[in-house]
Amino acid sequence: MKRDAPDVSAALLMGLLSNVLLRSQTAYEPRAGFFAALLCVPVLAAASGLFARGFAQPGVGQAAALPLAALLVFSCVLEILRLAALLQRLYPGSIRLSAVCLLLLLPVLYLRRGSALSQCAYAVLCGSVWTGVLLLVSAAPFLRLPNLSAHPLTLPQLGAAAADQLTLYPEYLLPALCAAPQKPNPRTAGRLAALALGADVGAHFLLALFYGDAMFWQADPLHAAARSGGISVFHRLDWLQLAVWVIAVTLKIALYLYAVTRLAGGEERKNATPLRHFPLFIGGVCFLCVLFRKLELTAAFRLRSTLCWLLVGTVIAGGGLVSLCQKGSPR
Amino acid sequence: MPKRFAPLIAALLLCGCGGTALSQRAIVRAVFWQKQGSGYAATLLTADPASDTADACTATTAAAATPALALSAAEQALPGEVFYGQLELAAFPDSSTWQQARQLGALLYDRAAPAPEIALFLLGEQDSDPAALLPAMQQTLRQNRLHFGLQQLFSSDAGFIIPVFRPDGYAMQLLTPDAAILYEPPLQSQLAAVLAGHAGALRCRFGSFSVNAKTNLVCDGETLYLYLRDTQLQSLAPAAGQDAANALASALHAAYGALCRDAAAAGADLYHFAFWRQCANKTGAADKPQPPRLIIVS
Repeated sequence: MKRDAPDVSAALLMGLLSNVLLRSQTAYEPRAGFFAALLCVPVLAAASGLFARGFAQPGVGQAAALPLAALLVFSCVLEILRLAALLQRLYPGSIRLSAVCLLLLLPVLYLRRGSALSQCAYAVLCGSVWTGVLLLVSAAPFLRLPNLSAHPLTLPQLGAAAADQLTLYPEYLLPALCAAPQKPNPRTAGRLAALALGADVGAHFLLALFYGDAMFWQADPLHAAARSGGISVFHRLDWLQLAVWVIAVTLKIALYLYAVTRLAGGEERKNATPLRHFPLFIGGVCFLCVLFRKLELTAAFRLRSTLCWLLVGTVIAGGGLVSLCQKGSPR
Repeated sequence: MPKRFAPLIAALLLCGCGGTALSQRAIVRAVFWQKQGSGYAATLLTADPASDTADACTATTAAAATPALALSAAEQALPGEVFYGQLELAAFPDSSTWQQARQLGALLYDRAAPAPEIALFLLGEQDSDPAALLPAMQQTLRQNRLHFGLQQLFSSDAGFIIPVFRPDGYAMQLLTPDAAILYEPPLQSQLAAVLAGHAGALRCRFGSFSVNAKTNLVCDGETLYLYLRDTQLQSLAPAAGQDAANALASALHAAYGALCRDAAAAGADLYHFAFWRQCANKTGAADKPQPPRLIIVS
């Protein structure tokens, strides 16, 4: 039944898309991003698929559960700090870190079940698509085709694009937990990587049309573009974008908590987080947010990507060894 | 957790939401910077709530050694909280270099949004009454379908071509990191604005003729088509001798040649010809940077 095995692919996709929406700065030239994505999508899909296979091997999953759970809790803290920093930049003094923590963590109570998470994710995904279309329509008068760069691409540009696109987010590792353990679906990983990088490259093209050469030094470029647009009497549609982004981050945190629950094991916990664990979760994450509030976020996100790659490499290696041992052992 | 606590939590989260009353805001409509000796004077035109007319403005001026200090001093002299959300126009001194114009633009960019909508002009020192100039500038923008937005200062690192306000229209100033060229003849300056994508009309006198036409540009890489629509050509001197259409074509070709030569000398692709050439897949064009051939279609 769907309730026993909810499909969280929409939540995974929304989690990846929120990284595109919450970019504080553009990272590469759009054409370089397009060509780099042709290489990076298969690499990310392969990493996700091999991690799922390795995680499914007996013993490997149990060994990797604790590091993955710690990584997911660390990711929750980073997401809250990133949104708080964004709100502080855009609306200085309007909201404190404690309010941001409560704003993001309390709604997770209603998303503690996998089925609720899945349903909410589809709704948020549709909302994101609509707000993206609205953003495009409202900013269309300011998009200038000659703003696109006509200079030949260079290898450093392609390298910078590949380096940014090969950032490994925890969402690429979660299909290993959320799918049937013996049958990880390789298409899920490929689809996720293709859609996420496609959205990222598309956003870069839109921002290049809007900003031209100024794209690389504009802070919070998507939000600034949303502020510039307007439809009829509705000016400043950035508030609509911001509402969707806040819900997307909440969904992301709920997804991470759901994954931690599945890692914790126990049949009765697999598809819903028990209510009695929420005070520990909310209190713990709030405490960590206060502890790490001075953290340099760019470096922290790079560290998280490095840790994800290390974990993937370890699980793939471990899974390969276990598989070889199983094949080599006499029946 | 019981669902009945959810509205309470929502109410607690929403507590403290507030705003500033309109009467306590100084709504800035335009910002003018002018050179004053070795320093700058910044004038903020704010909406006058006490006036009966909607467009009435109050001017607040402050002078300082740098543009940032002058702006800051003018903001502090305003009654109420400064609000840049309705900013529609800004003017820089016409002696500004490329670097100075971008510095002034960056000051506004940090304060005001949406940046693309803020129209920019360069202004001469003789134009000393910003409050009286604002309606004339707005009319120039409307009549000539002209708009050089603040974003255009930053969208290309090669340079830009910015309108200079004149009582009877506008001139254009080409600014690159190494060059500054002023185009005074009305037809040449307006053609420059059209080529750069900042204007959509030609509305001026040239020689003994006048023209009023809407424009549209199409470029296929090697040919630039200038479409003129709703064209009104008038001979101002009965004994002009020359056909008005031919005179316009000759004048446009001459102006186009001069603009292209200046842009090539400045080393800046201000009219995006290289871009359109790339789009039309004209390979090898980088070795032969010839501007497209101009064809006027009316």
